Amino acid sequence: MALIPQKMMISKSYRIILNAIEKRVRVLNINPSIYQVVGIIISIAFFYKLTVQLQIVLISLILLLDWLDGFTARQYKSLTLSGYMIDVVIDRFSEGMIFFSILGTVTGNLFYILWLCNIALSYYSVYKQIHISLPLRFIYLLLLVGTLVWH
Amino acid sequence: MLSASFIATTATHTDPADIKSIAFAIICAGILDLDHVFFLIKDRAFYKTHGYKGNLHKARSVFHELIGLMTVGFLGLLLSFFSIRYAQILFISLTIHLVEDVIMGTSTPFMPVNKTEIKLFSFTFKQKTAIDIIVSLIFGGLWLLFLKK
Repeated sequence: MALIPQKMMISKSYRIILNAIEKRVRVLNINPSIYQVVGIIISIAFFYKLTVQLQIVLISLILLLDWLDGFTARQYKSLTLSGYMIDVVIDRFSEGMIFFSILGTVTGNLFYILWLCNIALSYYSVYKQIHISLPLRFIYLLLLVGTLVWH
Repeated sequence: MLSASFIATTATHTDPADIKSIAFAIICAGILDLDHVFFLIKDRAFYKTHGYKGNLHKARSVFHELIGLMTVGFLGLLLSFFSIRYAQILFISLTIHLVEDVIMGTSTPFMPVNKTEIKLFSFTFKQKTAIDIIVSLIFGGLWLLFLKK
């Protein structure tokens, strides 16, 4: 039976915090893919010109939905390889939509190339059964917040 | 295909007089489906026996999967050096096409590394058509609103 790629040690540090939250909170028992689809619909908004503030709100929402999807699967013991694949694929689509919108700037070009690397890493993760992924949306969110605070 | 080209034209603020861009959006949104033709002809014996219903996802190349997204990414990047507008149309049309296929049907995203099939929802053909019409109407409406400005 095919196994779900395992997360690396580095992600276990922040997982401690998330696990503590997940033990105390109950989520709806719905198809986790619904969160993914909502996340991708929000990502489409990035094709339209957005303000920094709106980008921060939308990326936060996308990351929250991404977490809720995994959280629902973990809480209702429905973790599967296909579920993992759906998560990874939708994440790559979402990142592509976000970073294509900023292509042409130095930051945009860098994130876009890293996104292409992330797709290659996704293949490597499935092949080697170890989850390796760059948290690009989270880093970009921090960058946006930093920019907003700086100005 | 229609919804993908509509999203591309609204996002890039394409003028209705700009026939080249509109044609480019429609071609980009539909070109990916050409691989269906190749596989339907190649595996016609299989489809004669098993039928098309529920088997059409098998009639497509790896470019309908994550490799396709990576290729679109590279093409978009290359084209952006010459024309950012055409790069946007290409990237948006093809990405929306791919994402719609992943959401609405069955796909094998990690081909050829892994052949596991994924399916987000179990939509019937009627439901898929209805969703495509709704998305097309929404983005078609948005385009019309843009044209009125």
